[in-house]
Amino acid sequence: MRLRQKLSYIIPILLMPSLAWSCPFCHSDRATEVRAGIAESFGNLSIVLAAASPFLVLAFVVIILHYGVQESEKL
Amino acid sequence: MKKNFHKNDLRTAAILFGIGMGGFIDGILFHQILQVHNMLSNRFFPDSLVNVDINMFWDGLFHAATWTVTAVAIYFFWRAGLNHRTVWSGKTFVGGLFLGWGLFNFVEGIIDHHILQVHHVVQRATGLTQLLWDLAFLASGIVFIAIGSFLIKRGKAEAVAQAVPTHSGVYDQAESSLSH
Repeated sequence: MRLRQKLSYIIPILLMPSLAWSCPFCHSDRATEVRAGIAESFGNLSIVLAAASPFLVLAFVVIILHYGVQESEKL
Repeated sequence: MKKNFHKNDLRTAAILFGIGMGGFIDGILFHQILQVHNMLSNRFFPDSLVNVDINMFWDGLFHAATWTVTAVAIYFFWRAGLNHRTVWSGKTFVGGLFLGWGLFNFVEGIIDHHILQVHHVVQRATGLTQLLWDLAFLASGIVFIAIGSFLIKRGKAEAVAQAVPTHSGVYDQAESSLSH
């Protein structure tokens, strides 16, 4: 790959965070409120539990079914 | 005798597919198309753009989790395909899908709707109507679990009936399929 081609990939990747940082939405009141709301929800244990615990319980059930309940040994 | 847990791969894959698909049905149908609830709609009621954005973020995390479950299901399905002892039973597979979907509805319903109450099935409903929708969701889970367990049991019974004994006296489904 030529240097020019490489740069055409690398430069946008390097620029992207700064473009996002300077975009009007990121600095709007709405975006600030959304970020605050998300931070607040992450600080609430019941919300984090609500998101994670169903999948943890289901993972536990699947592991029990996979390793605990065997198909007939005759098979 | 060493236990061969790979024999359960097809059933496990189907259950994980059921959980994943059940999650996507909830997320796509209820959260996005019908918009009857969102992940945190009981805490951040989506009546403002900010609350809609916050719910959308958490809905995204929910979808990421269901996507992960589906990816793990693909892994188990692939492993089942590589195992010559896998019994390819449609009843086991469909039963696993129902069992997984039912488990998802039941566990998610109990934790999110009743214990932690981060959302309800129909968020805009109130009082008894809201409770009835939540209970109907739980009931659907129990019905799907029953259907799934029944089909898996039927699939297992059929597989046992089709199996033939090998020279070592152990029944081998692969040998059975080769003989037909």
